Amino acid sequence: MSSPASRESRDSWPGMYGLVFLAVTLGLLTAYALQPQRLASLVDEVGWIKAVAKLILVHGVRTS
Amino acid sequence: MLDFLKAIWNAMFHFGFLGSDLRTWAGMLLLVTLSGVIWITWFLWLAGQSQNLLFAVVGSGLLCMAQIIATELGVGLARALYGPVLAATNLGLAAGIFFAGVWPVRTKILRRQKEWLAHLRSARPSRFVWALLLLVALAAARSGLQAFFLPPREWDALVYHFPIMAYIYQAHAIEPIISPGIRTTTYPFNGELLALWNLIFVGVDKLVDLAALPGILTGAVAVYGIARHWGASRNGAAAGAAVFAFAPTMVIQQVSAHGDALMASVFAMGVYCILASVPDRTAEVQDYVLAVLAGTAIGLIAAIKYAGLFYAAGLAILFMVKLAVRRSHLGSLVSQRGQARIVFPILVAAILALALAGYPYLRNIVVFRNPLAPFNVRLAGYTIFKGERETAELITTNTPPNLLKAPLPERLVMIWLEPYASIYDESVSGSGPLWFFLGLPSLLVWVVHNIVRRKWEQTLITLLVLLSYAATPAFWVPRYGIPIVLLGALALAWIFGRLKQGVQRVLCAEVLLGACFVVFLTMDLGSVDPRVLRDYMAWRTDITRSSAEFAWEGRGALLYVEDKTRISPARITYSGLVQFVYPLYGPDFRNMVVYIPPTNELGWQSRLDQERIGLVITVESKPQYKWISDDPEFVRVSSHGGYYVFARK
Repeated sequence: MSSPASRESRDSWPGMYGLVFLAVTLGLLTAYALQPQRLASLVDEVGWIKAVAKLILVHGVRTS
Repeated sequence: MLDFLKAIWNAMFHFGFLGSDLRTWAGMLLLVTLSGVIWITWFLWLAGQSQNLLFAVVGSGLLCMAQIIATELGVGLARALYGPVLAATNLGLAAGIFFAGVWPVRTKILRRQKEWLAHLRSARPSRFVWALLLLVALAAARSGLQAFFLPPREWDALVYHFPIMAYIYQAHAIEPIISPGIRTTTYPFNGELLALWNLIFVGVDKLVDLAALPGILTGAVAVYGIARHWGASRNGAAAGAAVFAFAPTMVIQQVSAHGDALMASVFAMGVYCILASVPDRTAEVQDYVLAVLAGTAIGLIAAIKYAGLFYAAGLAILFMVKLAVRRSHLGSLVSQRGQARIVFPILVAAILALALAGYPYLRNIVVFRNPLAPFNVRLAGYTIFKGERETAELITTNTPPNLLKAPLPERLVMIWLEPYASIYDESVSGSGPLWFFLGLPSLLVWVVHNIVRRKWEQTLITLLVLLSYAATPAFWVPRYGIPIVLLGALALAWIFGRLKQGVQRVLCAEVLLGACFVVFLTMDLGSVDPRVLRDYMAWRTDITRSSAEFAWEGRGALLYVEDKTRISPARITYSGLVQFVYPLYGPDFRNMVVYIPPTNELGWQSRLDQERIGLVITVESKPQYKWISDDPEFVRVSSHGGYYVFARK
């Protein structure tokens, strides 16, 4: 019985197909990343995490 | 000396650790131990049935959840749903399975454990797989911390998911729920029973939000398993599993009462168990293993939520097709005896499925004459079951108005692009970046490939998921349609193996980028202010953490009840339109919450006395408001956001 990997290698795509697929995924990634709210979400998130970290670092967390 | 020991004992109870006293810690330890015993017993049983480690891991996850739910239903219907009874029942069952199914084949199981250990030692996961595992651990740690320090606070959780759990907990019974909330009285509740398991030994609602976490993590393992079953490499299967596991809905619902992620995970587990439980075509017993696992998955999924019925039907079809194909390979389908052999596993699966999912549907038939109450069920224009709500309501209430106007393809693309809000907003986002830029294009290629190459197994599963997806009301809302991500995950795992190494590396980078993005964005706790989080982490205990603080309406009134009952618990009743019922119980369920239906003034007031009600919470538009205002025994003590609290003088 062949292993999964060896079964796969018999069926690999020509390089060009792979590159086209990659280009499509990168194109969609770019479209997703360039959504208007995306940067705002990241900035919000950094702000939230910073605020939590600051509060904990300044005041500490009780352990008992 | 005795006084000294007593003082230490009291100190351990009162000061506790991380906000929990010794009793809670002991309860949590008991919960983990019992869950571990159940899981390990099933794991060992499956180790005796199959050489496949992943199959044993996923199957035991499924059977563990099923045992928990089945025993809760069993002792609940016997009106004996108490912690010790439930623990004893489960330990008894585990012992029975151990002595009947594990002990007789212990040599085989031990040998297999050694083989698996050796295999795990020799298997060297790639850096890509390690990185993904680290991200999974980070997300799970975030869920654990969140549940540990913060009380339940989602709208649906406070309005009906946890009121169902709390009602069963206080009634010590599975019975028709008396409540003005139509969702509380009608919805199926397997997810709530899992939450009850996390509550019943602990006594406080510290871990109830985490009930779905083990199932969701096992679901990701199942996706990896399906991909491997179809020949994907380890990296390919891991990339696929990442599309599923790092969909924001899956991460957010690790710590949630919503059943969508759990439903998708149980579906993946069911599919994997059905596909992988054919290791030995000659052994008759395998049919029953397949039947037990399929029946369990079908039953679990059918009563997590109504939409689960579509996916349960899909699993049932897959199970019967696999069974028939296997029997025909054995050449026994043509003979009469062979046909009898196929009927018996189907019967076993059906009985298990009915045992796990039958109760809520049967209750709805008896009480509401509609298994899918409160919804109107129509087929081809004919009303089959009459209900008071339309499924169309689900669509309009859950879809933003600007999306409702858009044609379906545009609506789907807009939802998948997640342009409206932060990723942690479940109403308009939740499929995640990995689905959009990896899962979706992979799926399109995979579907064509499967049809052209006549990969019927893959095509059948794709078809079943797509049909169930399309049948779900408001399926474009990412959390309702989350099972579709499973197809993208499997498609990516397949494509991965067909790419050259250089392209695979870039894909790995894309997967990691998307997974990091999701883990990072889901760290935020939505509406929780950092100062509130710190306050909870630093000062709150199991008794002072309160869902009331996060209620979306009537917060002041609910907080009043919370404060007033901290020292002296009360018996509380409420009226319809008091939506946020769960905070009334208190985090340690100190208050007995009883709904008294409003028949007439005198009758209702006399029930207040009979039930020794100390607090009444109502809204102005309900008759109870007038009746309680007229009652000289009660006085108004608080009002906020339309909620009014009356206390007995």
